[in-house]
Amino acid sequence: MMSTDARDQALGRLGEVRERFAARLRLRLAELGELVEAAQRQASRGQLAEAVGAAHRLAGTAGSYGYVEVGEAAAGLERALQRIAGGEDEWAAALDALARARRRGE
Amino acid sequence: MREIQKVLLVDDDEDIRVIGEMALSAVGGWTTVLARGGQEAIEVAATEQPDVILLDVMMPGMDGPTTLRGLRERPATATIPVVFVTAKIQRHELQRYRDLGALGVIGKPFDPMGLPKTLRELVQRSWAAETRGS
Repeated sequence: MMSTDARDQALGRLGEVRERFAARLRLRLAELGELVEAAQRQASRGQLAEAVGAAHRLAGTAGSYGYVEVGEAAAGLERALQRIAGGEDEWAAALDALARARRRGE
Repeated sequence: MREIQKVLLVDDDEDIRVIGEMALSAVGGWTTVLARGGQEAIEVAATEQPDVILLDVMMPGMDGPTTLRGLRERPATATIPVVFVTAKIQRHELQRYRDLGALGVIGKPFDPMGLPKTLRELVQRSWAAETRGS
């Protein structure tokens, strides 16, 4: 069981790391957008795999910082990109999920 | 009761390492060591001898399951408990991870304030089972 002081200190540190992440989130979303657009333009397996990886990482990370809706949108983007990799035409769903992640991350 | 003293957190995502380290050290009160990938994890685990390893499943290069096999093959790290951290937990995968020798699985995203409690429960349940079995 944490003491009140220790809990307050932990919450203070959590606030600091969340603040730093908020600035990084915009950058991560911009990078993710570039990867998705490049994958759509070039339709190469390598580009697609890179975009899937970036969406997967953001899905796990954003929610841990309290950006639950960004994380859920990134998870939706990951699933859509995986279906595209499997041969389905899911670009509309992927771009919609990307737009949702960007809106929630603003 | 035996307590966790040191945790090794392995994740390729810097932002997860930052918030995980904050949770484990500031909330859990444990010494936390970090690794960015599987090979580094095996080296750090051998040197630091953590009480438990929190291991990301999907990492470029050496993924979590391959890293776990590497840890189990080396005498210095063979018995260190490993808990997987993953964004995808499905029932069949959970069983597969346990079959590989993982103590359990923690889902991503995680609540940083609650992570140490979840980890402590998993590890202490395993230590209690060991004590009963010995």
